[in-house]
Amino acid sequence: MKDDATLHDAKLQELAQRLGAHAAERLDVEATAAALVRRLHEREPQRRFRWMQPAWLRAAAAVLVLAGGVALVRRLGPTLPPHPSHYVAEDLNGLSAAELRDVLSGLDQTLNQTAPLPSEPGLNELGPEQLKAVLHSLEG
Amino acid sequence: MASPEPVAASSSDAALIAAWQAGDEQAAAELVRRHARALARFLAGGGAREADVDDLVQETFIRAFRAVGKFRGQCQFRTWLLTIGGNVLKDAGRRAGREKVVPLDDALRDRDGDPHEQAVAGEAADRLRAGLARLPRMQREVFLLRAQQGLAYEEIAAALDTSTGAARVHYHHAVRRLKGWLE
Repeated sequence: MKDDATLHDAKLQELAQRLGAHAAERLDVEATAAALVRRLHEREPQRRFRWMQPAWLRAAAAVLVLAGGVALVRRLGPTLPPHPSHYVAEDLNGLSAAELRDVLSGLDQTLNQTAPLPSEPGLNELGPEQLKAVLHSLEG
Repeated sequence: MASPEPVAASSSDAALIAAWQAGDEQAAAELVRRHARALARFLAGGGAREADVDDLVQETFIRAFRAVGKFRGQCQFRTWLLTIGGNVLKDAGRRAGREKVVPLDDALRDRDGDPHEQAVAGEAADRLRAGLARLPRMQREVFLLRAQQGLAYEEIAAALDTSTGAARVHYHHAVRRLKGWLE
């Protein structure tokens, strides 16, 4: 190594090589190897758990996104028409008995599509006040 | 972890690394047997207290085994291990809240009563230790890798991710300053 004259400084090199020699001699290599294998064992489950965490986070994030999406679709989807009782309540007093029966018949048809009421009395048998009471009860 | 066929002590470092990655813990133990003393010398030369060397050696191996997938064989495994040791030493120094791992006075006090060690560790050795502690990290590591471990500049450059010329310059700066302090 002609270009490396300083390396021929035997004293410096010798001193450098001696540095740490005692620490190296004192080191119990077999004990260190055994301890290391033990520590690697101990860290293995932790490492596995650390790898699992992002998976859990991803799953939780996916659920949140899905739930948010469903909520958004519900908000932006076709809205139901306002409750018919709103109109009924406003105009109820101005209707005749026949008109009230027509309104109730219309409501009846709608309600019977989902929940038919057994042994319901005929609307023709009810007076105006009773019809109004029925309509009010339907308003909820 | 499955235990495949154990790797013999005569296997290369690369074979031992592959065996460790395949789950052979004895391969890891064999790598420790091969390189622990050189690592201990490097750490102690870099300023580690003798009482801390064992822990630092273990920590260095733990980090190395965890990151061994990143080792691409750009240098020898030992050289790569020593550079990790340098990082461990730096972190230990940072944790201890001091710029250097151990000040000169502590280093001198830390010696146990081994008469042989004390006989050979003269004043010059103490000054070298103190001088190394004053060097910038790069210069110190290049000097130790070159003068203590006997590595070629190409090997040092590959391990420290620098050029051969830069490694050479770091070494010469380190030597010049150390000689100035030693004389």
